[in-house]
Amino acid sequence: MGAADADARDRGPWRREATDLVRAVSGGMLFGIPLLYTMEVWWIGSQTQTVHMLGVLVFMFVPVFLLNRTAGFRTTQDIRRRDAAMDSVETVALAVVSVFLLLVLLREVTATTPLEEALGKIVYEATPFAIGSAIAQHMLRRAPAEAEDEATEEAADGKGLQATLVDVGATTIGAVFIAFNVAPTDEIPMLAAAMPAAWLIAMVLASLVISYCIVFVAGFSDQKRRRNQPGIFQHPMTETVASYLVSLVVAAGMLWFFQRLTPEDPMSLVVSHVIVLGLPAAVGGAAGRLAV
Amino acid sequence: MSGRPARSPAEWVTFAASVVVLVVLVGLIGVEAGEPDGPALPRVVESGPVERHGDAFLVPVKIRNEGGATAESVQVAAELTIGGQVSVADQSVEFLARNETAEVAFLFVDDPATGTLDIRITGFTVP
Repeated sequence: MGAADADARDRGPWRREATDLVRAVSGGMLFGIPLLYTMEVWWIGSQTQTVHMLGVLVFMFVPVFLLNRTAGFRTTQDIRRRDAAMDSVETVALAVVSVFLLLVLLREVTATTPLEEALGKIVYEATPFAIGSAIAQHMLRRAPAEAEDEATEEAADGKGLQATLVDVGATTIGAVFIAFNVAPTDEIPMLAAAMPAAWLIAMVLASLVISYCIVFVAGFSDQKRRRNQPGIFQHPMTETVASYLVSLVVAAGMLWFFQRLTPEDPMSLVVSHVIVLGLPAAVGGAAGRLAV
Repeated sequence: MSGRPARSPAEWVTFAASVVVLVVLVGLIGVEAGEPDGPALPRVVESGPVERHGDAFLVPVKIRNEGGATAESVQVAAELTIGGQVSVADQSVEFLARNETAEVAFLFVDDPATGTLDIRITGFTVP
C-alpha cells in the first residue's frame, strides 16, 4: 500500500471524499470540454426525443461501470461489482450536475431554454464528461510517494526562473493541446456573442477555480511537487492566476493563427473571444503543468 | 491504489445525493415524454416595435415552435409593401426546439409604419 493512500486516509473521510469528487470533475473537464464547445452536440441534444435520452443515459452506464472497475476516480480500486456500480451512479450524477453548470456558464442552457432541449443537451454532453471522470485516476496517474519526494527535492534545487519557464512552457503546451482544435471553430464567436460582460467575468472566475482544482486539489500526480514549486509564481493562487494569463495569451495566439482575430477587430470582441477560448486553454494549461 | 474499504459516511452521502440527481433527471425526462407529440409548428408570435437606427428601420420578430417536434433551418420572410413597391428580407433560425422562442430582426430602408408589413414562416426542415 502506497504512502499516497496513507496520506489520503490521514485527511479524514469528508476531505478525502471532496478530493475524490474534485478529481472526478477534473477528469471529466479534461476529457469532456472539447465536446462542450461543439455546437453539433448541442443540436443533437436539442432534437433528441425523450426515449433516446433514456437510452443514452442507460448506455452511459456501460463504459462508466467497466472503467470504474479498472480505473475510476477514487484512489482505491473497485474490485466488487457493487462498489463499481455505486461509483458509476456517482460518476454519472456528477457529470450531469457539472455539465448542467457548464452549459449555464456557456449560456447554452438559460431560463428560456425548453426543458426537453436542456435535458437533451445535458444527457449528451454528460456522456464524454462521465467517461473522463471514470478514467480520472488513470488520466494523470498519482506518482508514488517516493517519486514525489524526489521530484520535490529536484524542484527545490532548481533555479526559480528556470522552474517558472518550465511552468510557462508546460502551460502553453497543455493549452495548445486542448484548445487548438476548438480555436478555429464557429463556437467561439457564437458563445462570445451571447455573453454579456457579467457572464465573461463568471467565465474568468470559473476558469481560475477549475484550473486551481485540477492542479492543487484533485490529487493528481505531482500535486505535492506543484505546491513546493520554487518558481517566481510559487504560491498556488499566484501560480493559478499567472498560468491563466499565459493561457489567455496562448488563446489569443491561436485565434490570431486561425485568423479568427485581426488587428482591426474591436477590443471588446477580442476580449470576449479570448475569455471564451480561455476556459479550455486554462484546463489544458493545468493538465500541462501536472504532466511535466 | 488499494482495495476498497467499507464506504465512509461521506461516500454514502455522495451516493444518496447522486441517486436523487438521477431520479430527478429521469423524472424530468418522464414528464417530457408525457407531453403530446406532433409535427413542428413554428409561428410568428410577436413583431415590433419598430426602432429607427440611423437611416434604417429595425423590426424585431419573435418566433415560437408551438408544435411537438424540433424544427430545423426555420426560414422567416418579411415583405414590406409601400405604394405597390415590395421590399423582401429573409432570416433563418438554425434550430427551434418544441416550445422554444427565438428572436430575429429585419432591417428596412423605408419606415414599415408607412406601408404593409407581412412576416411569415416560409419553411423548415424536419430533422
